[in-house]
Amino acid sequence: MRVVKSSLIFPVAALFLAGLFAVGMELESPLAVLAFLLLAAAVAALANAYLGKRLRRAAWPKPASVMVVGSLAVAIFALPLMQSGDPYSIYSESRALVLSAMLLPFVVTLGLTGIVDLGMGAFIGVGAYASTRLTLGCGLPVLLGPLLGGAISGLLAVALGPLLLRTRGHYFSLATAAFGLVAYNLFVRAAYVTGGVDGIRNIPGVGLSLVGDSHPNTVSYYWVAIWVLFILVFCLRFGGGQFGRCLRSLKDEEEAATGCGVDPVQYRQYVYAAAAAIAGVAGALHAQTVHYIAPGDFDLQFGIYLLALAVLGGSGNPAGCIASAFAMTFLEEKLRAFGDYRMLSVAVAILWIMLSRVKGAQRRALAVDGV
Amino acid sequence: MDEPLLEICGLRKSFGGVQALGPLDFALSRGEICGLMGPNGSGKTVLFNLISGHMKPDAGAILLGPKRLDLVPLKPSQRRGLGFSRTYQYTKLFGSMTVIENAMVGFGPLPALRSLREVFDLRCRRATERALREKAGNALGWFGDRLAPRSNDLGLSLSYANRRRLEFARALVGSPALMLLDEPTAGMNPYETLELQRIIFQLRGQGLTFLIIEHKLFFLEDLADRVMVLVQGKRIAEGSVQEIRSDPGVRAAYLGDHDAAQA
Repeated sequence: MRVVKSSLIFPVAALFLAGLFAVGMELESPLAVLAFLLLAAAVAALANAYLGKRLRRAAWPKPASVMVVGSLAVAIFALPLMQSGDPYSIYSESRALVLSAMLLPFVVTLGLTGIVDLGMGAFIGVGAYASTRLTLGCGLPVLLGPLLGGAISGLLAVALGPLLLRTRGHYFSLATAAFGLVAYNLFVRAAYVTGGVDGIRNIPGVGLSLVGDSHPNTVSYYWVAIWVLFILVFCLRFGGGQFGRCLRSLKDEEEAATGCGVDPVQYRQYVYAAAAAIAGVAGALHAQTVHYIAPGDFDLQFGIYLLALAVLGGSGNPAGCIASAFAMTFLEEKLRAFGDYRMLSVAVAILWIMLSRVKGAQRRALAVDGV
Repeated sequence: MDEPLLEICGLRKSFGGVQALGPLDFALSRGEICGLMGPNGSGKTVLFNLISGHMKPDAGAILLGPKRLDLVPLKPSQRRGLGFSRTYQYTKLFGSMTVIENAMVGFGPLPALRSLREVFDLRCRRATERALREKAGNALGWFGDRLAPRSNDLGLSLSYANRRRLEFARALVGSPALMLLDEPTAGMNPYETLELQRIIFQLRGQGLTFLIIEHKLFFLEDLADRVMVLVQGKRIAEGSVQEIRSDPGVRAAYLGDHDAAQA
């Protein structure tokens, strides 16, 4: 009974955060936003002081993943209902969801096996271009976009994996960075497929007003939301069971893991392909949400930015990744008045995590195990 | 009893100019308990690493089972399924996992298709998890109430001796025919050492074969059918514990008793 009570804290916390986000999105003046941020920080500190222990206890040894997914689903689906329905807010929230989807591959790579992939931007790009070309160019249904993007990106990783995964540790990271650079250059040069530097415009989304008089952006939001939840469930299932344990054993003690029969190269290959497939889906969702893609969206710097955000969310913690995607979108939208200085907030946040919470992030990284 | 389970022929390993092991010839019969002794740096752990595949030998063959399958070309992960398991001199537990999860990994990976199916099939995974948990629980059960009540604690929260027991249990889960134990009693008091001795004896009764690196002669005394002593990678003595104890070469290697060596 106690367990049930303490895990009720998840949906409550998720809904509360969604509400906070909805309120914040309605603010206009930079001063109000700053005041809101201070208030939110104070509330977070208070909540941590009073509930942190309970939250951590509920999350240990592992939270019921049904509870985690359920809470996130409720919060994500309730978010548009909590606001006045301004189409631009909903659009920003769709982008936050897309960003969440882009961070979820790191739950698999960084969280489960500890491999650091700097070239994730490339797989997102491949997914975006593939789905756009196949739907806009070849006339396949728009609804298939994410599946196509994911499949092609995943297949590319299956082909590249044996080559890249010969390297390990820092060398692997550098190899993925090199792949990121190559892919970016291909996006620029292969103009007959990618449209070159100008990119591709007017990409159709799923914003057909299917449901009554709802705005296309709202439809688009729920379309992305369903995909994010699907990816989330996939990540949890992928990291659970004996398969997930074998993956984590590689991260913990590679020698003992091979002694137990786990082939490191083979298992990293699975992880690499799964992460690339998720990234491909995210890329397709990005194209469908923003309706415009260009090589600059998928360069190496973007891959590193994503990695930083994933670390910020507590690498390997899917709920944390979604939270950090929403927080970052909020800062980007609402601190526009401060121009590019707003990116400083990202740097400060990452420094704060590195200095104060590294152990916490690591300890909770493993927290979610399969059903 | 006489059927050879493990046969090692002309095995050699050197690091730079140092001959760490061999050439070594050695055979282990099914159901045998063999002790492996020697001062630090004599090549005991190197021998284990060569058998488990964590090092590559310079020359020689390692033949396992009645089919005399040569292990040398196989990767470590491929060797595990052939029916042996090992523990490590410095315990290597999985830090992010609980005690029971650590033991469950010992079962090794599932076939790829089964793993894929489990990602989407809830019921299939639940069945596997239940079966694995039971197997791991049985392995922990060998150590009485030392591990089982701590099943859901983090593996690294255990005491040093219990970490060794957990590694032992993890190696047991895949039901191996041959176990390589690297100093299983390190950090254990005499009472606990004898307890472990009894467990190994019972496991042998179930048909397991053991190769055990150990310095405590009283541990090997009633347990080992045979003890082999390595010094600088070469076998200097082999026989019962009594024979080893009185062997002048062994005394010299361990105690620097050169008079005894000359006598």
